Amino acid sequence: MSAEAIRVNRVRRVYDIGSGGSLTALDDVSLTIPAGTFVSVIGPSGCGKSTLLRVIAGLEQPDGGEVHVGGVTPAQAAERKMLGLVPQTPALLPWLSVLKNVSLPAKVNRSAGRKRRTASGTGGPDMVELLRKAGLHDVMHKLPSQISGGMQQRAAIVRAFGLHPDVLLMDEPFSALDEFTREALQEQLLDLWDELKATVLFVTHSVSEAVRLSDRIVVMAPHPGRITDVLDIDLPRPRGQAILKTAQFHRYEDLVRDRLRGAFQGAAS
Amino acid sequence: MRKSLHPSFWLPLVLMMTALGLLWQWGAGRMPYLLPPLGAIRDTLIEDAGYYLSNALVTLQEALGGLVLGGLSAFVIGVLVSEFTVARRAIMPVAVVLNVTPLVAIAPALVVAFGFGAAPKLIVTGLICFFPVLINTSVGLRAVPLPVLQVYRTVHASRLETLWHLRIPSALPYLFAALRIVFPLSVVGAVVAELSAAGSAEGLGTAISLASSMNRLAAVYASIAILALLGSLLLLAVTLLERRLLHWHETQSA
Repeated sequence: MSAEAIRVNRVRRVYDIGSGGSLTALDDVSLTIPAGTFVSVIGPSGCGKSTLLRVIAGLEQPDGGEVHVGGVTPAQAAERKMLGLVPQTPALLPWLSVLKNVSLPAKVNRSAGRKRRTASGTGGPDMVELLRKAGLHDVMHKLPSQISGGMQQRAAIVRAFGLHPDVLLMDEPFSALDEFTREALQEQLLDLWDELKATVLFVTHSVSEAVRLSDRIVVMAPHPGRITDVLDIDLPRPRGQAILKTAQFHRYEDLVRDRLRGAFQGAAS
Repeated sequence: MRKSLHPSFWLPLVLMMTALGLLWQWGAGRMPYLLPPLGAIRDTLIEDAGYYLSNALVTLQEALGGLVLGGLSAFVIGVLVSEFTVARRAIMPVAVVLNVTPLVAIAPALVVAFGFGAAPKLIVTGLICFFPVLINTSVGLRAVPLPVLQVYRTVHASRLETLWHLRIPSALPYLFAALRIVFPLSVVGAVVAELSAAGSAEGLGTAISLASSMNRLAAVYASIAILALLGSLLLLAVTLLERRLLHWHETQSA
């Protein structure tokens, strides 16, 4: 793996909104993410943070600039199974058990999976073990509709981690969950990440979530969508529940909030 | 006590049937040339049980044959039109026109073209089953939520893998909604075809046209009763099948 996991170079993305109008979702956005880091993207709605994630995932084509994931284009990264995506909704298949759901990505595009395993010298991912770590061992034979929303989202995370991706892209995965579930899931996400060491790009609109999870926070502003700040979060890991109450944590929260406000007012003026 | 044994469960139906039966008998008493008494229908069903059974089997075979023919081809074409825009543009207008053309009008032409054998019956039944399956399949195949498609696009699932693992299972509830319509409808198709083929020898539709030409009202209604039974049995069959295959779907939870 190259030292740069993600490189976004002067990317533009413009949406046509009908009647001759257009919306600049990403305007000249550049961003480099070193391998193995956890980076959050935060900003008010309409700042293009989800668009940025979709462009990196290869789900949208930029109108200008270029994107590289592990040295190749997003399309090539998908072909080689280097990416894992956790969308806003769990996106589980209702007819498959939890175990079969998280195992299905291994059953598609098999040749890429084989190549990756040969290259890394490891066997296939042990999904049962991953589910156990995520606390889903007891429900792995249940259908998604039979488990809670928090568990469904955990299954979606396990599904992505099970690919052992180089880059994990998460689009506000906890936004639909209540505060307690969210904090518990953040902790589990950090545990899994600690073990499987992927580069994570995490889109969120929660300041405390961003501070707790990230090595680095990217602040974005709307109209046009752009990056206004990049903040390093220098907090010790592991970051358990206790860290949420420390003064250092609060200082970082205030800092991020300040910069966000700046981004917002800059956009309004 | 099981729910189905409780009077509140079966009593309304029994009362309804009794009322309808009494109304029927009252009508039959006043207009014997229009409506046969229930007893006469029962008698002919018992006396000529073999005759009705063999004709029912013929009609059932035509219905099932047309169902398989129309259902399968509609499913395959449904996959084609949902996967390829070109196919959708070419096929859907033709399918819509075919659907709005009255089958009763097509049936005699088919009999002229294909004779009194099984072929026109299979075609008419197939046609009547075709459209609901086609529409529901093509809608169902496109009902996969976008986030699901995106997850599997980022692992570069092939078109065939997406179809097999995501689209076809998503389409099953839609497919079954169509099957619940076309299973009973297939009997309609078979009977329409039989009624249109004046010279055909077998089937309940033929039995009805024979009996009515000889003014044997009881035999007409006996055949109708069996047709209703056939349709109900087909509906029951598809419901049981659905319950087995779609246990995961929300329509199946009580």
